[in-house]
Amino acid sequence: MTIDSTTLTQVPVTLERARVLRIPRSPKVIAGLVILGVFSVVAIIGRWITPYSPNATDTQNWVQHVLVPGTGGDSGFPASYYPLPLGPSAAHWLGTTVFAQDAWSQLLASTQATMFVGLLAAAIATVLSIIFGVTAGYIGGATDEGLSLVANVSLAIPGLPLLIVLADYVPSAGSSLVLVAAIIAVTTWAYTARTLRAQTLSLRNRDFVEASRVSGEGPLRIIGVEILPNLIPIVAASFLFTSLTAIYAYVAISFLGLAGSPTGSPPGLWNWGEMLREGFANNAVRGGWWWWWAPPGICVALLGTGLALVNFGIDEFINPRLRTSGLTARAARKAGAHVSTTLGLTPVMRGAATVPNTTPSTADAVLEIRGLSVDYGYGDQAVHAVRDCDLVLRRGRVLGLAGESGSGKTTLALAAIRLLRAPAVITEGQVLFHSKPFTRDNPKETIDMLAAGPHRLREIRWSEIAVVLQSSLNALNPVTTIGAQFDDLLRAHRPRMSRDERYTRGVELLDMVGMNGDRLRSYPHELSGGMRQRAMIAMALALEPQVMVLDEPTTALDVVTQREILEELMGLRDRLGFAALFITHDLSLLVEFADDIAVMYAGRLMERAPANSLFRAPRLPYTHGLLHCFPPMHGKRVPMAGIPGSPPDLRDLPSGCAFHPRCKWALDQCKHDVPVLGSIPGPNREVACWLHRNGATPPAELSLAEPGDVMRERLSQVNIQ
Amino acid sequence: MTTAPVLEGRNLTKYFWVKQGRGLLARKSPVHAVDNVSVSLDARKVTAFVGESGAGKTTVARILAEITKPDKGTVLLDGKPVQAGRPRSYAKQVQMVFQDPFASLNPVHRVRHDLERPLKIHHLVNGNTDKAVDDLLERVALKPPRQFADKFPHELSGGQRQRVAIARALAVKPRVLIADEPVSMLDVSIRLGVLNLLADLRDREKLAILYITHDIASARYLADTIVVMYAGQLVEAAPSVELTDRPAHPYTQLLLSAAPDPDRAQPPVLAGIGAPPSLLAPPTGCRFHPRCPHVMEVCRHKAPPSIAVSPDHIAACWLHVDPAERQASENGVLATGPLEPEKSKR
Amino acid sequence: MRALVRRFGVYLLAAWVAVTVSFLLPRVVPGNPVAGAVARASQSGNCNAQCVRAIELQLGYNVHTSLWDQYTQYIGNLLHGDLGHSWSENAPVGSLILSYLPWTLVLLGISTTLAFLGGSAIGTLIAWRRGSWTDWLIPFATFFQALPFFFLGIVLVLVLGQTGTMLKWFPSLFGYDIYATTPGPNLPYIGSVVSHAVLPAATVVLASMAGFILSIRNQVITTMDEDFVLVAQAKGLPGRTVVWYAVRNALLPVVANFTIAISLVVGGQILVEIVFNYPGIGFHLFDALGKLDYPLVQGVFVVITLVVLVANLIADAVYVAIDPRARQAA
Repeated sequence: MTIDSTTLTQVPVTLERARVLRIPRSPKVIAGLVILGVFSVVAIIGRWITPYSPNATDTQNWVQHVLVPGTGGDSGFPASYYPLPLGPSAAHWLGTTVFAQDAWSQLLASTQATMFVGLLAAAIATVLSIIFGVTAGYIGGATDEGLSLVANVSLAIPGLPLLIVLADYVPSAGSSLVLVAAIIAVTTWAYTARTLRAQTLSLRNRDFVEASRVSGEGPLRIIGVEILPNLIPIVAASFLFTSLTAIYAYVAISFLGLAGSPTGSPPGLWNWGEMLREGFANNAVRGGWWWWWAPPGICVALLGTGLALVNFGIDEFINPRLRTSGLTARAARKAGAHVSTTLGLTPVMRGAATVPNTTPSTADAVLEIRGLSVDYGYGDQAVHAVRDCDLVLRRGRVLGLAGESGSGKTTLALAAIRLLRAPAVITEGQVLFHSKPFTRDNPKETIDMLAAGPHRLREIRWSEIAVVLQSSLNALNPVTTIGAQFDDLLRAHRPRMSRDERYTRGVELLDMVGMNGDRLRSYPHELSGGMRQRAMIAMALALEPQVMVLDEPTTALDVVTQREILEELMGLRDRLGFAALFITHDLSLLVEFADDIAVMYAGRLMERAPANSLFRAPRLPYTHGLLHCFPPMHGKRVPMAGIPGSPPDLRDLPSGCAFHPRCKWALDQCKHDVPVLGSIPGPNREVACWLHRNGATPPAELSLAEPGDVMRERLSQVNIQ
Repeated sequence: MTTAPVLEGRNLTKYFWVKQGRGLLARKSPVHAVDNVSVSLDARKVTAFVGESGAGKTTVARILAEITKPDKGTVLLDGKPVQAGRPRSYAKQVQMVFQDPFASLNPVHRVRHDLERPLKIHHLVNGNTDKAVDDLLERVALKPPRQFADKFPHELSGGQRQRVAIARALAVKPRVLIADEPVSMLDVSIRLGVLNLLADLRDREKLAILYITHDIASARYLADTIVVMYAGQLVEAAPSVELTDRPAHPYTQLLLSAAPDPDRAQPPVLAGIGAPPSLLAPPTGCRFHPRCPHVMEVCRHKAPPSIAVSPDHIAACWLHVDPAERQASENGVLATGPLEPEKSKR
Repeated sequence: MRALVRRFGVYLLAAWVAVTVSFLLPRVVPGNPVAGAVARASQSGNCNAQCVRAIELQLGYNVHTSLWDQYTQYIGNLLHGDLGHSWSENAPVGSLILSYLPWTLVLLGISTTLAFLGGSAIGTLIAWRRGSWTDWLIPFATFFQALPFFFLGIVLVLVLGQTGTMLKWFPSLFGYDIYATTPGPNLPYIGSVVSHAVLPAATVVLASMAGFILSIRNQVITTMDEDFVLVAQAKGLPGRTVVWYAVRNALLPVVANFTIAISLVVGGQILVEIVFNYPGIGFHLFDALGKLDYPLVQGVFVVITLVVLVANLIADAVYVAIDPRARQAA
């Protein structure tokens, strides 16, 4: 069994009670707990329910003597006889040994010592490792260095050989289970200690630990009350892991005859390793008397499997990415989606596609989203992240998609190009990509993104639609150079390019975003955040795509770098003519850089307008509120209110318009009916709000006059800059 | 400044040591995270620290909260140097709110635990703890308090968590609140609510607040004074409107030109280029000189003095030094001390 | 480099600790292991007075120099490659171990490599096709990784071994056919060595591969959630390249934690050698234990520790080579 090494490398997990309660529900964990339960019961009462005494010889059923194979006759060895062990029968469920002892009774009696040693050793090792790991991690400095060295040294010395030597020199060890357990603990504690140290080290600098330090809490309480409870999952996983290691170790040294024989002096206890040893030493393998030695081996494996299964549950808790396997695929099939991680495509629910209508709604449309709905999860579990969204990206334009966390803006964009992974599923809608003619003679080609197969999608990905994500450190492969990543890309899409041409193209692209061509030889971690994002943009431009999806491309950067990069990007847009879908939570940024803006709230598109119109004369109460969340940089300071309340939980959306609980103009109708996006007077303006429907009079704040053309002129200048 | 500052940091300097080089020749070199920074916080005032990531804002905050020990310089509470080791008496006066509300509350404890502990540590309640907890929650506008006290952090939204974090800081009735980017992890629509809460606390509870942010617009909105940091040093300090309307330091001008501002009448021209320097080997002279559009010879060699460009408005820039003196100081003839305000209008 | 030097220091220290433990143990444990050993050795008759003296020297019994002098002499001897004298074989421990070592190293090297490569391939496949039939391999892998190595060995002997009772396909005793072939560079001998290695190697591969499968599956699944894999898919790279991006990164933590795997495999192989009477150091350790040949036991322990430490050092070097960040952070 492995404690997954993710426990070492990942950020520490913290415990959420709600999630803990979910652990036992996984079928794996249930199976594991059942196995552990059965063995525990046998361990406790097994010794007293044996049909025979494990040492007693059953003379009644002792049938005959046999010659041990390979002895006597012309083998060169003196003839040697054993009683023939009996196969399983009603009297002896697991047959007998060569000593005519009952194997089933031995197995029952053996469970206790085996599990006792395993659990005791694990308990000692866990206590040791908590003391060592938490002390080292919390105190840090020289103490940490010293303790870590001790742990690393004991980790490097192979456990079993050391155990063998130790057990060999301590002859009385075999008869004392506690001593055996202690010796095993000494050889197994280090791994857990190292894991706990790493976890404590990162927990120590967590804000909640610092906060309690700032409030004057003493170190013992901080360790006991703030840190230790968060280590419980890892301690539990380590305990199970160490139990298994200890059981192996005990079985192994018993098999070697180092743990004392039940019939020897001083007498050891019956355990599975001892049964295996006797069987092996008495030719049970050659004799084919599997009933004697196979059950204890299978018991070790079964107990180990039980421990491992429970550990799986804990692993999935510690590392949520491991969850949602298996079950979801089945759930997906049931719900009518074909999920395949191999292809890297967002699954589309069967029957999701509406009536095929592939005519572009405007002549210059390049990416068109119609009625798109996206769920996370299937059936009753589904969370509706995006509902019924329409969006048209026009050639050479920048379309801003604004919204808060959980509004579905990234989901919408990535689902449209089918990059979202399971458990996301497209339940409805249509996405069309109206490509430029691929060759001069062909007419313009329209690709139905939801119907396209993996091959088709692979062709248009990046060459026609490229993506820049928020964190470029994660978006670049950390173990290869920037140059190698350019190379992979060009090799896949431009197979005819020579190596030199690919290199030249890489230099050219980096130059385009203001980077030195030498940077092709750099690894991502050698570049600053701004540089990495530039490299990512250069990569996105490599095949001169028609569409760029920019998902919070500058959110992680400082303002100065943000502006430099955005201005460069807009300059490149003017030169290369791609259309951009610019996703961000920062509406003020969009007003400066986008041509048109769409605002999302709780999974729905709520307002769409040219950037300047939206900024000067918002029609949606939410947009109006959002615009008044950015304190101005000029003029008198006035108190601003922001928007009351919090963004809604997608699992528990308010009825009617999702924004109505936070809306100061909410009508009665808003509480019951969901508003749909519809045109309102003004240039290309649409809004989903009951205040603008059915002859209702919108409040003055939401009916400001459209800004003049002069403004739009100026704005486009801003973009050219 | 008429009243004595509540909390003061004088000439704070902090180096972090990182490993450099390879093999046996590896050495540790200092990162000049904070270099000779002085700051004072007054009651009923919000002081904002503005700068890019790595400018040293958070380090200053942590030194003032006594989480980090400065290498040089002293922290004074009411004019008296603070004992090392963060005594409880200090915890009672100076509290801190952290950036990430998802990380600053322990996921295993209920809200009640977070608020009770400070009360118990400092023996602030006898008897009715529940009442005290309710009061705290009401002070940060989490109503009805009963509903929030028994929740776990994951049951709260980001804004609610940050309010709980503020309530925890308020539990000991501190006089100074250090808020490290308290709204940057929150959704745009709820940021103002938290900022308004801080403003309210300043007025109602006479708190001295240090507001750390990279968002100069929010600093302008909330703070009375803005201090701009660059590469571990102070570059400019002024009343907030004065600073944003009439920035005197080229770096402040650069920051302002880069900040998103939909109201802007003209397309912005970025006033400077490049990225902040490595603090392992900061540039000589003025640390901003490699990026400065107005760079002069003197900037490359000598660190600029702090000049009062107008009363209450201080900038560390050679542009505001009298040309003759600049020349003299460049030649090394005259050591420049802090200058009188009148001398230095550009 | 720096990281490697540091690790090397840790391993040197570990080697010193192992050596010191094996020096001190017989001298500090309560009771007197020497008396038992000498008694038993004299009883069995193949130990003369000279050999008794050798045991006493080795274990520090009836020796009139100070503990420190014994220690320095012990370390000095070790540094000269003198690991003491085995009385059961009546030969220097050092040269005995040298003759056992190739068996163990070749078996260990081949089976670990096979297990790692096979485990990586299968683990990746399961992760990549998550949700398909391949998920059914996981319970099997879980069961297999929970099987003790030597038990699996016994099962293989029963089913496939010539000393078993079923298929009798492969030899399952000794390292080569000790009756029909003579050791040396001749074809029958080599063929015999290979066929005798099949079952022990299969045991180690099967038992340790399951662990690799599970940990690599978990790592690949974790890595597949990273943005760079998403971007690789967005780039329209061929499936093979995308998998490689994920696997290359997923291997890093697995290699970084190789220490634990090595320890488990070495421990397991010792017992497998016993099951097959395979003439490596594990089998001879068992043999020496039975004959109470303490010098040989000690020597084998020290050598096994050194082998494990060298394997660790190699794993560390590989890690530094495949992770540019480790290379730079050096």
